[in-house]
Amino acid sequence: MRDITIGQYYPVDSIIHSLDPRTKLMSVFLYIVALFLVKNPVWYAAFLIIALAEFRCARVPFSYFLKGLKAIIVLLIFTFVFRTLATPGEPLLSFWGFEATREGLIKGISLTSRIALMIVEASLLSYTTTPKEMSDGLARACSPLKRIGLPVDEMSIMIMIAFRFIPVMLEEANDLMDAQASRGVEFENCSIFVKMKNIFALVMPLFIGSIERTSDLAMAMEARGYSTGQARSKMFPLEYSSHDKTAYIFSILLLVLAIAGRIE
Amino acid sequence: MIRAQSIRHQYDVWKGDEKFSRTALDGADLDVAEGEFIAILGANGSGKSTLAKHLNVLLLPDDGVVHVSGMDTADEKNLWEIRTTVGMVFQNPDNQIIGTSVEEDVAFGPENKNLESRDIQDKVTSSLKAVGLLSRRKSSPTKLSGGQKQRVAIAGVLACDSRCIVFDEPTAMLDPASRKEVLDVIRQLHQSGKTIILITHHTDEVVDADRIILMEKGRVAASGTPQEIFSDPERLRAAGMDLPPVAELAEILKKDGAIEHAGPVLDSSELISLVMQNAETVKPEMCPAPSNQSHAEPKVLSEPSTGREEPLLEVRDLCFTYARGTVNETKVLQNISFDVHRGECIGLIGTTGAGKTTLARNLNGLLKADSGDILYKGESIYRRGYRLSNFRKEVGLVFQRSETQLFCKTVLDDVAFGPKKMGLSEEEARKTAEETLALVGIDEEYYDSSPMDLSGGQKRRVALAGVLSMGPSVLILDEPAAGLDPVIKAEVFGIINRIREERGTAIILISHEMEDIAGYADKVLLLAEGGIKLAGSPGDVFSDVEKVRSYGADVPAVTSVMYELAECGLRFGRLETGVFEAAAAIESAMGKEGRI
Repeated sequence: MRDITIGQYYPVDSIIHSLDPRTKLMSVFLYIVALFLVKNPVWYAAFLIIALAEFRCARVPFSYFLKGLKAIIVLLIFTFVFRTLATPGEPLLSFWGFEATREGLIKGISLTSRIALMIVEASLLSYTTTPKEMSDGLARACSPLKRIGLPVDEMSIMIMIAFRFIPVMLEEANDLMDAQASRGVEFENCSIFVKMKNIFALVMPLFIGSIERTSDLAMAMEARGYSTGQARSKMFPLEYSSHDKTAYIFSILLLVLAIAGRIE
Repeated sequence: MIRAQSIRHQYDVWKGDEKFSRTALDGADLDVAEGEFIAILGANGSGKSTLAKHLNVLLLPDDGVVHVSGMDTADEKNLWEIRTTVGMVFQNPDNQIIGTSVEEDVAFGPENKNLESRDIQDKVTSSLKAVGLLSRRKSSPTKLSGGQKQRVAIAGVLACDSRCIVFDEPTAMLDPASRKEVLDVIRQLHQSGKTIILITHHTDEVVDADRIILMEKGRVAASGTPQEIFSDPERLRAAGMDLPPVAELAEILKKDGAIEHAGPVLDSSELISLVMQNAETVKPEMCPAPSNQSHAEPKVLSEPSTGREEPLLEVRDLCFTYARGTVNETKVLQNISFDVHRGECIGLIGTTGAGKTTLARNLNGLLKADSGDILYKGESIYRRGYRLSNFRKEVGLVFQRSETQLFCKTVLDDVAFGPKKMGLSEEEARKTAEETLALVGIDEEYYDSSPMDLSGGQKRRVALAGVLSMGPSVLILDEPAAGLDPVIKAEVFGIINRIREERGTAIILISHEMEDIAGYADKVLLLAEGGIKLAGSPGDVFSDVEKVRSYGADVPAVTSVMYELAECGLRFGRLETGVFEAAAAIESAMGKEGRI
């Protein structure tokens, strides 16, 4: 669980950090759309170069680039192997009744690259955007939905609180596991089923803990003048700068190129 | 500014499927003038927190009225005006910080008021400056200490421009250094003109207040200046409170005629000057010469067993590194060695982050040391094939805030959980659980209650029973008394003493309260920077006041008084840690020996 990179803000000043969160969200979205539009595997090299360049601009160390991938390495390997073996076509080599095909290899490479690049791009977003910026950005981007009655502002507060309490809950779960382990519960040397059952037993006290926390938190929020449906201002309102314009131009250009690449 | 008149408040509790109504406030009155510093003192369950929640409309009285700056809290249109006037800081630092960074959290209140962005930024900056956290404005709350988190919460209230701040047990979950940090900020706020209402059960925190309100069973039992309240120790004890150690020492000295003073003495510097005035008549040669002999008694309990018997637990050169091989690598423990004998009580002290909790987790095998060894009854627990789960039931560990870790449906099930895991039959486990519950003083009527319906003190005792039922020969207690009022605390320590005497269980007591360590431990280990820096009897360790303090720990308040008296020229054989011993030593040094 320690490899989960989401919400792990990397606090440095960079052009990417200073971009408006809406720009970043949109750029990541367009990047992913473009990624799924292209067909020729050579494109992935281009996408990789773009991602690396972005990391460079964001001044996030390269090791963080790999950290995001580490968490899903099993998924990547599985996707690659499965795709390579399960696609019918011109055989490359066969063993134990399995057959790797040329088409499979190409599909395997593309799918694995797509997933990997998608994760890399999403982690860059979380390295360079605080949860608060992210939820503000989402709320602003979704604000047209208010007209159809969606509580966008409340949802953005909820997202922020979730981010705030994920580490607290993880710590609490760890303490609980230790407390139960010292009362004879096994979490390590046992079968996966016993382990699942024992982990499931943590749910109850964690749940009760969060209910208590929720009522405390609700009280603290009320005491500081929060109520739903009120107009709230922002300490740092979202404003576009010239960098944002550049970023949008790049992203749209990438999308157009990808579409063009698909048509030809 | 605030006027509460005969307020009553009831709430519902469930016991099984039956609903009961409990009275939290039974006609409480409160008057607070602008700029005053009021302390509300009372035991757990005396209604002090409920009273506080009435002051900013988190609760409404069932009966009676509350006025804030002339506004009735029952009138809905006053709600936001009152909440702006009266801000509140709660007990649990983690449950009141909403933002994912310090400045976001402080901005939460002003944002709710829909202020201009410029104003919000100014308010956030000035509030963070006031609590001394401006440099941490971008930090994540998870990276802060408890004291820092409470200061963030205070800044959050300041940013709302509240004229009055209610503190609901703000230090209950903090270590002494953090407590001091928070109390200093509270004092500064009072000096800057804010009205302060501080709710606490620590009598030593309220001596600076303008007025103390003593709560008992939902009513105001007494109200007056600290001088007035502390001049009636009987009244205090009846409400479940005790005198601060310095005042208690002064009481004894007064009773014995060693010093004369009209009211109670609350301040250590005042006591010191009183003692020195009265000691001036003493000629230097009358002072007993300092002796280097260590004390003969009074901790007889473990003395016969130590030295002869083989130790239960031997810790040898234990080293532990956290997050080995990553950027976060930190050496938490370095070359820790000590022995634990049957029936003895070892006190483990040190600042937060000194490695006490990590050591505890190593001692019961939850964490594995990088190097070094732990021997239980002469056998290494790191030996291949050693049954660690067996070992864990021999070395029981009661965690901090253990009451949050109860998880079974009924009290009895929870306590029987460990024995069942050990392989006892349903019947035997039940029997063991019942015996243990009797030992910790939980009545049979609670056996089938849900642990969630118990009071805080009861929960703590059930959690203790849950570990005790496995019959450990060593019991590690991590802050067993934190957040408990004096009466419940005395009960918990009573249980600990009983299992020591009746079962010969060795105790390892981790605590920030030096009075508890001095009162219950036979041996003290001071942990700092991952190593044991001082070890010995409480008397020996706490005598070395400068060294103890240099490692960020502290000494009992009476020891500190004696230390300062010694600086002033009084001569003692040794510095005492108990109130009575200290009183006797001071009297003999003053030349007024005899009556004790």
